[in-house]
Amino acid sequence: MRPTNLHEAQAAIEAILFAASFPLSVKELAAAIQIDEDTTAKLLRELQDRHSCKESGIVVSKVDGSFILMSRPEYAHFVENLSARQRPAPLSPASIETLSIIAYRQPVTRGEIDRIRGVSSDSSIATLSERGLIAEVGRRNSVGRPVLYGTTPEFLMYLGLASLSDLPPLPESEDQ
Amino acid sequence: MKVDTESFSGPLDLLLSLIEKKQIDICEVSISDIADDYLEQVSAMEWLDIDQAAEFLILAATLLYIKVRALLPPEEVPDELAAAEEEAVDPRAELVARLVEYRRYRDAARVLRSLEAVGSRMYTRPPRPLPTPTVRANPVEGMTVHDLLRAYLDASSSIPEEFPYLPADEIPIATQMVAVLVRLARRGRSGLFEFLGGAKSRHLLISTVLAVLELVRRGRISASQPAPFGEIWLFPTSQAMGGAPNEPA
Repeated sequence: MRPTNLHEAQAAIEAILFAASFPLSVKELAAAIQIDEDTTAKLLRELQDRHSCKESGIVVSKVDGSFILMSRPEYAHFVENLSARQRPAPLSPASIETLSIIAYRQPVTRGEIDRIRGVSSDSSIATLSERGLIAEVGRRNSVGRPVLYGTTPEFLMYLGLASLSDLPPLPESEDQ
Repeated sequence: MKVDTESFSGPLDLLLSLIEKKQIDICEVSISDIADDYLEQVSAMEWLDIDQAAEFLILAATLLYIKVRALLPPEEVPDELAAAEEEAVDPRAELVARLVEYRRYRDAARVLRSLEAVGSRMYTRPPRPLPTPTVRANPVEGMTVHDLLRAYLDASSSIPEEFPYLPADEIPIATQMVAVLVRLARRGRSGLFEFLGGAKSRHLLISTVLAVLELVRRGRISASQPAPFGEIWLFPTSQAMGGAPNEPA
């Protein structure tokens, strides 16, 4: 069964995104409503526009090429007022610094992170892995085959980024 | 004075913040001056973690080394030290380079922090299980008997010669079930020991006992033993008439 018109197709996409509540690609959505990917992408953009005003408590976020419904950040504290929803603890200074090195230099080894920070990053790496923001992405072909770390789609969602190319540019070193 | 070690992510962070407080460019900074500030801060820190303390102290040692070198007039530097230094990198230049690089990521971390403040507060629903597919595609759609035969031959040809086979039942229980039923149908009643007495092998004996037990379980025959250790009489039950023994009970 496929939607009879584009309005219905767009509503169907919305329903799927709501029900799934994990990021879905254009391809997956197109397959579910049996409409070609170009039309699905167009309908998704319209859906994003429809939810882009403040009157909508929900935004259609694009994360790493996939789409997910999220609550609008402006209304975050209302959501947090629900007793069960505690505001997640922000990352510690050491952890967010480690995260920034991994984000901009990935794939990167523990040794390189420690060298830049001048301090051991073991506990930060453990915290970031536990929160699913970074993951092992391979091993470097050098002595000891050290583990390489990179960021995850969860990292993009955590910072509200659509893709790694949306990371703000790394500050240039003035002295170079 | 107390300094919270948690507010600095590491020794470079502390050093950089001291330099920035003085509003001096990293490259212009007098390490000698900043070394004193750094040592003062580090000595005021409350150490809970010995590894963390060591990391701050390594930088303190580096700063002191740079300071001492700067204080010594060039002609006072011992020959062997001077020779070693010509090959080694200037420790001050090295420290400055590290600070410059570190600062890029520290500043990037501040940007990420501001993104985190917004992004981490966009909530999603915890996913609930979606309905699982109930209709499965027919896995043998379009297959013919020939395809199956070919698949079987392919599979069986790949079995190595030395594949250890489990010994097959020499006399299948089903065969004995038929034999028991046929005999009972013909004779109306039979003694179990009479059956077993005719068994020519251990396999046949086992098969026959199992066949009788199975038939009793399925209700196809009934058994009775009038006296302890006496003959066990087997009777066909009414439903034993007709039907294959493999038919489910």
